[in-house]
Amino acid sequence: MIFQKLTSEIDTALNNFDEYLEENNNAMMYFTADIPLEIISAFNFIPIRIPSEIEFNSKNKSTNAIFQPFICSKSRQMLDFLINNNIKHAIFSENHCDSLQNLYDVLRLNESIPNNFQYFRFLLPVNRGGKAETKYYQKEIKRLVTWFEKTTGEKLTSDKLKSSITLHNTKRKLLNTISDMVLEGKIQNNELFKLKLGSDMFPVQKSIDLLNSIIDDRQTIKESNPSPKVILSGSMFDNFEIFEKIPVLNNAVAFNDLTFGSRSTTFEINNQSDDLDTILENISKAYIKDRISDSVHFYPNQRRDYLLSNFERTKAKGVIFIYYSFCDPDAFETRNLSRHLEKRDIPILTLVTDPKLTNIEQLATRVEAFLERIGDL
Amino acid sequence: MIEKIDRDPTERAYNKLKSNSYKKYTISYYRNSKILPKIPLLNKKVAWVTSGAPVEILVAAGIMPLYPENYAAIVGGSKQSVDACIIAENDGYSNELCSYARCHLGTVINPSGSLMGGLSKPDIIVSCNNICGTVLKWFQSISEYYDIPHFHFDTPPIVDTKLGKTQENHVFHYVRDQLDDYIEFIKTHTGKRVTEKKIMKVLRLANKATLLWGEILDSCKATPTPLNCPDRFITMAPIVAQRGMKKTITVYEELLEEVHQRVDSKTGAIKNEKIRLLWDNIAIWFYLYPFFNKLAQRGVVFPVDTYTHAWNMTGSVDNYEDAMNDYAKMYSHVYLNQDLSYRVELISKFIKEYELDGFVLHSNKACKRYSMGMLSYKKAITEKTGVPGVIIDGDMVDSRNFSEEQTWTRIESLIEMIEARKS
Ligand code: SF4
Ligand code: SF4
Repeated sequence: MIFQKLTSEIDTALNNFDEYLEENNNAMMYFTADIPLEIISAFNFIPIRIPSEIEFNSKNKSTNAIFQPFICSKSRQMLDFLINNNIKHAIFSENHCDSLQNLYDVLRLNESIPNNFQYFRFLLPVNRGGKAETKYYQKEIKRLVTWFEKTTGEKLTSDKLKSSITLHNTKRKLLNTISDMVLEGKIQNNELFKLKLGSDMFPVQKSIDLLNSIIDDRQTIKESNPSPKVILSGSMFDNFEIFEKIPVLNNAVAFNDLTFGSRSTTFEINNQSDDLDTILENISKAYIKDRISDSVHFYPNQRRDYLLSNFERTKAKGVIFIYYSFCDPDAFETRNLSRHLEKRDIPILTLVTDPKLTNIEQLATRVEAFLERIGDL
Repeated sequence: MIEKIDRDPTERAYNKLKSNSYKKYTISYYRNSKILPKIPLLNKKVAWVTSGAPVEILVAAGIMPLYPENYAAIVGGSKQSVDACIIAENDGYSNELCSYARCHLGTVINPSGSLMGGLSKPDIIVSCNNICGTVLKWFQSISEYYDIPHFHFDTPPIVDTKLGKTQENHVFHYVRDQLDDYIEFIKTHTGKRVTEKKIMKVLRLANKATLLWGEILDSCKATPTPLNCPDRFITMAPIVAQRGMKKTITVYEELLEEVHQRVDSKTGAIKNEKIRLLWDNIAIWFYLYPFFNKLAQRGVVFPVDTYTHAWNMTGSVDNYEDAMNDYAKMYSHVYLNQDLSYRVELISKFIKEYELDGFVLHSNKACKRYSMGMLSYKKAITEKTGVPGVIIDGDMVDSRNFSEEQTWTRIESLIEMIEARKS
């Protein structure tokens, strides 16, 4: 019951995103999982990721007149969203990948942004895990703080930042708990991801309340028979309606290795200090060293090790990779990870789709055949 | 009026360059790269590098740099690239990926069936994302394939140039510090030491070669222009791949002399120059001469392109600290690492300085970084300069992504538009 109420609230927001943004004047749109949400919330903005499930009318320009067909389907969807919605604030992850590079310039050249649009062009490090990039990221988030202070006229205090971190840490922990409940058969993947979607667009305190209520509701459920399962792995893939649309996949995924899934929740930020610089340093360490990197980053073997350790932990039987068409980083990463798994005789399946899942029937057939092959159907 | 009659496509409408030491140099470089690392006494190490990576430090360390991109272009020019791409695709690389990467990886998988037996196996590899993010993934694949160390030089992009913004201080320091890490990496993984003195020597040589290359490019402002696109595309190899080596200077001194002679004697790159255009993006290597010759037959020449201008940056060589600082800035400011406003400004500036009638943008399916935003910046350039442009679809080495007929229809319409304006 609680879950249905929540679903309907999320769906209403997704289907009327214009209105949702209108109501939430302090929405800060972002595109990638290495944007420090703690800082956004500390300035009383709501961090909102542009999800693929979103429904909106392409009223203005079509992205076909802006991007060539070989530019990745996710960046097309993001551009489409940006030019067709009245966005007031955004953080651009400029150098995330070759397709997203200069997205802001493309918008501006197409005169598709309102005059009062406030934006920050985040220059993310591609290298991950080392001291130099952690130090660099810390300086870049200081620049972000300065930008926020200028935009809002408010000063960031360590108290505000600490309480924002506490909230986000709590949210991540709760999501991890729910992720474990999938493995225990207490919650379904479609439900987990619906919650994730809600937590990526609701104010953080509201997300925490919702997650807590779901955990309370489901905790009492007896473990249902968790059958042998697979891991769903990818980076940018984020249309979680796939679980509704392919029920066998919903049942089969034991764990997800996705940017906006487990990889955005399996880290914690230390907020034991009152010194603002130290807290910023801790944020940097968490995002650059601890957060499991994406296909666009350089952190040799980290993704592979994370995938393999979760494969062992969950006793999965195979891995399904999924990525959006024309995503070069994911295509490379998938191929290279596949080789590591093949060496270990782990069955794999690779799916390529787009943010609207237009080839869903074909995906479903391939998933079914794969599960049958590994004896999980 | 521009002739419209069909000509024999093989009839040469350009003046062939007499200078050829660039060619001999490139051939001997590749030959040496096959032989020298095999002589134990020499202890010659090989590094594979991306075209935007800081190569001078490797040269200073006595390491032989090899460029998979350059090699893929040669394979493309030899029309063997599709076969190589297919090998990579069969090994799991998506056919949507950069075709330089696919082509080169195909030759890594199957060296014996590849041009020159593939590139000499590397001891280390170095990538730099100032040209694109693809090179990181491509080089990661190589690193895993051979199980060799990989250094990635991370250069965050330059944005908001329109607002007069320059590189932020902390971005600069991040890049600058990596140069020291890079020197350390070389030492750790090859045992080769680089001294400040050696680096300075190489940087001076690199600067000198770049200045010569810059003068060559600048001379193309003359009417008729002394070099066309294919001339520059072919002669650019040493400035990309052998920067910092003595011989590169000799090669460009020879070329510059011929360029000067052509300018003085009003000898054009093509026999009958009528229309001057700019080329943006990488060459279509498998169709290089037929394409530009056919245009030359129509009196169309390309005095400038954004591709070969990308290797036209120099820095201070007075002392080590200043040189390394400039070096860090230089590598951050390459064409593809700057925002689209910069692109619009630079192309517009070229249009004015080289007195051009129009521009051709190659929408290169294989290179997203170079082609992203092209439809938007085409419009902006025309608005700024009043000069028309056209977008053609292609791919630098994968001919399966190229339609000759469609390309010519588009080029034809640009020529007609320019003709109408001229008359
Ligand atoms: S799907 Fe891939 S190519 Fe597209 S925006 Fe994401 S990382 Fe970039
Ligand atoms: S994607 Fe473009 S810039 Fe990158 S290696 Fe390929 S051709 Fe070069």
